Amino acid sequence: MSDPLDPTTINQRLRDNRARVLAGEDVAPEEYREIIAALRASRIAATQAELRRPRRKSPVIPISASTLEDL
Amino acid sequence: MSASLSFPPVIDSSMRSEFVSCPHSFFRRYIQGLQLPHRSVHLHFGSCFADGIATFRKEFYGGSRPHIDDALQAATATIIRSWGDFPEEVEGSAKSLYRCVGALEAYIAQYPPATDHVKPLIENGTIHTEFNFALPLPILHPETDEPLLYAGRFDMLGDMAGLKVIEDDKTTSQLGATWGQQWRLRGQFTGYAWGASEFGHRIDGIVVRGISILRTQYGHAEIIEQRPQWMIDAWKNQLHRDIYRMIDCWKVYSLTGKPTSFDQNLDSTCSAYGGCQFLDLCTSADPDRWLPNYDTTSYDPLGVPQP
Repeated sequence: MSDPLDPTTINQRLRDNRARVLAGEDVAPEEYREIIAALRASRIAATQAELRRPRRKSPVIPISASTLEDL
Repeated sequence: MSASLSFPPVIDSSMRSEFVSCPHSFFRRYIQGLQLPHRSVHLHFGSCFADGIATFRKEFYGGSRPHIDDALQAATATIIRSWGDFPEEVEGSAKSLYRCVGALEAYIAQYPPATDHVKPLIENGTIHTEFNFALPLPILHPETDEPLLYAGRFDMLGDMAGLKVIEDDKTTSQLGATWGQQWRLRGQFTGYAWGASEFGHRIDGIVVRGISILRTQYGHAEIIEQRPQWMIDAWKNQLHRDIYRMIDCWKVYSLTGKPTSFDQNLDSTCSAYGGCQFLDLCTSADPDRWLPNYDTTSYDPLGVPQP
């Protein structure tokens, strides 16, 4: 069974639905329920991944005595 | 070809903007109706997204689908219909059908209706989403002597903590530090404020919401602009002057039949945003030879969402 969170799977579902719409088929809005749920899960996963991404530490700039005097 | 051309009866902000950037480009696009065959993915994406948001608001606030997911499903159906047979993905762009539906879901997550500080104004059962207007100007059409019309369409007339606001959504590739600056004088919004006021809606502010479409994420930004009466008056005067200049160019063109009666910019506008679509015409000694490369489509300011 395909991963419901896989963007490729969601994309394919959208493509299939679009093909049906273009063929004149009446696609009920309810058929998009899983797509919406998958997009939401995908967005939350992307946000969590971004939050977990290690941040670069601020560089420490060595300050010499002469610099302090300048300040 | 020139025998069948006519001056447009309706002017909108895109047309004015094109004219002040390059009158010649205005002539090619809005009088000759020329356009390269492939529609910009940016315009198409923005248009489909706007259709989706409008459906969401009508379904949700209209009461027929007061649950977010139900309204989102209806909006998804709208986006797929609006996307039509346009390519699902365009090489080099993150703007795809998939990202359009995803952007809508992300937008609703960012501004959930329960806590959104901007809600559509509902008056006498009318939900003011997709506010359209076309108003007569005190300038006559150079051929028909009928008043010219100025048209506009914005996403929502809203209520923000008791203030009456115009809300407009902008999809973009990136929300940089200067994204919010570009709207400060934007005539498009001043025109909206004028249009709304002509229908009795005195506007307290304009809420511009940006959503950036990145490869893996969506970004959000919101700014609030004001359009006091003096700005609206200045905009209106400028609009009138610009339209008189359009008509002057048209009169010269009517006498000479020369497209260059509409002045060419011949500067940075020609190369802006990857190059003007009419560059092949302007760089040729015989522009007519290039015309078969273009589609001829009439522009409908009343039906096309503003980019």
